[in-house]
Amino acid sequence: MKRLWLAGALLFMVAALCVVSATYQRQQVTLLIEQLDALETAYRADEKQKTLHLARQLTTDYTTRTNWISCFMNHEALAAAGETTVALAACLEEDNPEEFLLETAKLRKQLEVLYQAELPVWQNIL
Amino acid sequence: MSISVIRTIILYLLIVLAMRIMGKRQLGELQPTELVVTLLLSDLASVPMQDNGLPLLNGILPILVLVAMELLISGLMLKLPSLSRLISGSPVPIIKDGHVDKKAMQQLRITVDDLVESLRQQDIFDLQQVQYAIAETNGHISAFCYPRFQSATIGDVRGDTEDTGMPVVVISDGRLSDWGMTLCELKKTHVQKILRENHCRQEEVFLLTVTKTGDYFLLTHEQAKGDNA
Repeated sequence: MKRLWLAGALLFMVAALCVVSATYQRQQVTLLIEQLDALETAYRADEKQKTLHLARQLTTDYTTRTNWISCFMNHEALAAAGETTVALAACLEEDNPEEFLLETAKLRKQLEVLYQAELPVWQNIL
Repeated sequence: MSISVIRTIILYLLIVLAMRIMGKRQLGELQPTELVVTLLLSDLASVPMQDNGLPLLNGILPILVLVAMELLISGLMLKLPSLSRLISGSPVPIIKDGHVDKKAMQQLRITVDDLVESLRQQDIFDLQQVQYAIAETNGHISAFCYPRFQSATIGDVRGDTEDTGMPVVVISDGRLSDWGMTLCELKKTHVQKILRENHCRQEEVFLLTVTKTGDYFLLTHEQAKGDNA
């Protein structure tokens, strides 16, 4: 009976960890997507200084926000999106709008993948 | 490098802990569920041990889930004999009263060579010596020889050896075994008589073994209390 309780406790702990990790990841990625939206809005409004500031902020925030996500996500997937955030700021500094738009679209897709990655949906399970 | 070392130590300790939690059964002959868990555990532990790009939790969580599932299933199997039969199956006699049951062997996909080899490993080199051979749920074949081929004990030396047949488990943990009753050709009324003689109910019996000649050994839950290690 003691072992049955232990099994129940273990399963509960694992389930709780899964819920917490999925919720945390979605929260953090949502905030990053919102930051990316703000960055695009500033870019379209042609506010160069603000866009550059937001791009740099996004790079810093991406590192802090994904710090704990690396405990349960594949490191390579996280690193790829991190590299794209760095590229965004670099494109703005070198005044390369085409590359900037490309990197923005790429980062959005990467963040969407991260958002979906921990959801217990059939596509992920299978 | 240091990351790999630390991760390996963590996974090693976790696997040792997992095996300890799952109990001694995991270290002996394996039942189907235990074999599955043991095979999966080793694989799960080795992947994050080799690949530092994978989070350690990706290895730890599945290990914890497997341990929990194994504890849950083995616990439920203890409570529900039907689940136990469904998952582990029942022991099958393949030699009964010296007669080989070819049909049972075919069902179990055991060849004569497998049977003879298994008997040889138990120091039985002549099939004619075997009175009963039973394919256990863990795949092991247990053999019981005719009394004249069994090693002599002090009791045997002092008197004549009588063919009492193999002691068969008839009540295990309060549950009547149909399989055991069939094997020793026992009727329910005989079991009830034994219970009456010992002034106990079926639920109070921890173990009751009966031989074909009617000799029995009865152990109640009360008497077995000290043996729960």
